[in-house]
Amino acid sequence: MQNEESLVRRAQQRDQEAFARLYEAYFDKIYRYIALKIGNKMEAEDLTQQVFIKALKSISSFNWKGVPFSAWLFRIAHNQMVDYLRKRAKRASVSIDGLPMASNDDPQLLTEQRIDIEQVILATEQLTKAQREVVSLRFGGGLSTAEVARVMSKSTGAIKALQHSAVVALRKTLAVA
Amino acid sequence: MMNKRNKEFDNILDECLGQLLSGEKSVEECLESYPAEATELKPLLQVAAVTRQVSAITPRAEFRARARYQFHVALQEAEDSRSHRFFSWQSRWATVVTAIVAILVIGSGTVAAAGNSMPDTPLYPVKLAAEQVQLTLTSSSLGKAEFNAKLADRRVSEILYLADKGKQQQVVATVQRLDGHIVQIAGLVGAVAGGGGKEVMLVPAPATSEAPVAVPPPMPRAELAPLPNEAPGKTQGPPAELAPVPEAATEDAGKAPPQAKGQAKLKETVQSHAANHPDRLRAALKTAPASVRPALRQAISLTETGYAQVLSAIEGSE
Repeated sequence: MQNEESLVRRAQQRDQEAFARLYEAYFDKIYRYIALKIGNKMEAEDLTQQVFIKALKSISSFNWKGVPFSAWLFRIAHNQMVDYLRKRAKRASVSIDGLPMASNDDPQLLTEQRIDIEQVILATEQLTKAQREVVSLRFGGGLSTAEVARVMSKSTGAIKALQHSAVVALRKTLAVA
Repeated sequence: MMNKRNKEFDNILDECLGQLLSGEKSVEECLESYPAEATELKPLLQVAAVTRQVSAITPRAEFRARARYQFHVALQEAEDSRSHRFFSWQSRWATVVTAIVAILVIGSGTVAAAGNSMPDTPLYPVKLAAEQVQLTLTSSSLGKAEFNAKLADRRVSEILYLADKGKQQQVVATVQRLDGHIVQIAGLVGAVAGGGGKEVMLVPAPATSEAPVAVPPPMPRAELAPLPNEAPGKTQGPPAELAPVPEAATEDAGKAPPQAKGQAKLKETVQSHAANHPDRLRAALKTAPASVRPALRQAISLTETGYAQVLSAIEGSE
């Protein structure tokens, strides 16, 4: 996002408009990342909201020093999920039904898309924790490799390797091609 | 050697994935860029293309609207708790007496619970009443104008929420409230400038070929006992209240006069609203059901013309 640094600095000065713009820019990405990680619509909604409230409360503590805002925000989302998953003793069944998709008037395409999403989410459950995190951040959150590396505190080389192994594992599970 | 080859392939795969995810290139175009690796790349990029389907996961419109509204409320609360200017401008006894009356009349728990309520919930009238109490407790015209600007922002969030749900009558009612806030700001700016609170009529007739909008009666408030000074006309402070406030004067000793500073802040807020509100409403117009579109257009029109008039009044008084 252009001028993101300026927006963040304004948000730190409690500029409501700046914070609202950051919120709009990241809301869907954070939701998608969380939904892909936990596979449950309602819980993803609750967690997404918590992420932004937490970000609002702690934005004054954010400092640039080379850390992109996106990495900081996704780190909050990651920590929220870690807390949440820790509390959830038993993994709830995947509730893909009702995970809304972008509107599409073609019912057949919509059905195919739903199957694809369902399969993808189930396939990501077979990945290692780190692989799943990379896939969720890259494909769900739309982050670049460098940003994923920041969120996961790893080198970009390590993220690329994880990404490679994750796609190979997904290929086996999804049996594509 | 193997390691180096793996790293090179990881880089190529990453580059292709980036292009695929951003929609810059298709699988075939990526493969054309790396013919030597095409055999190995192809199945992986095909998997990635399937995995990319997750980008179609989007939040429910209802959740998005509710979350956006609650976030804006949280933003405003954060601002309120930071400034504390609201109560510092009041004489202590008047604040205490009015607060006690408000608590007795409404019930403090109910007021707190109503803070995030939406127009389609039973507690919403309590929220409106609490806002009126806050307006009453604000003594200066500038303070009232600033608070009305905040309320206008709340109303816009509520309109977006209701529009998403297709609640036509409540959208219309909330647009009228939004209009009321903008009219009050304009009147209060007039009072600050010494013009005696000249009001401007902002609500234009909805220009539309679609079904006419039925104007509902005002929000039912029969369950609430009347609040002191609740009549809209009484929320506008007379020009006499604009004398510099001692606390603000102490804070700003040696700087710009408090009134000029307050007016600059109000101008900044209104400029921000003028830039954002019409855009947010226009964005909602794209996805809103046909039944609420006339009211949304009306809101767009009144925010465009209303804020422009307020800004012109502020600039005229500078």
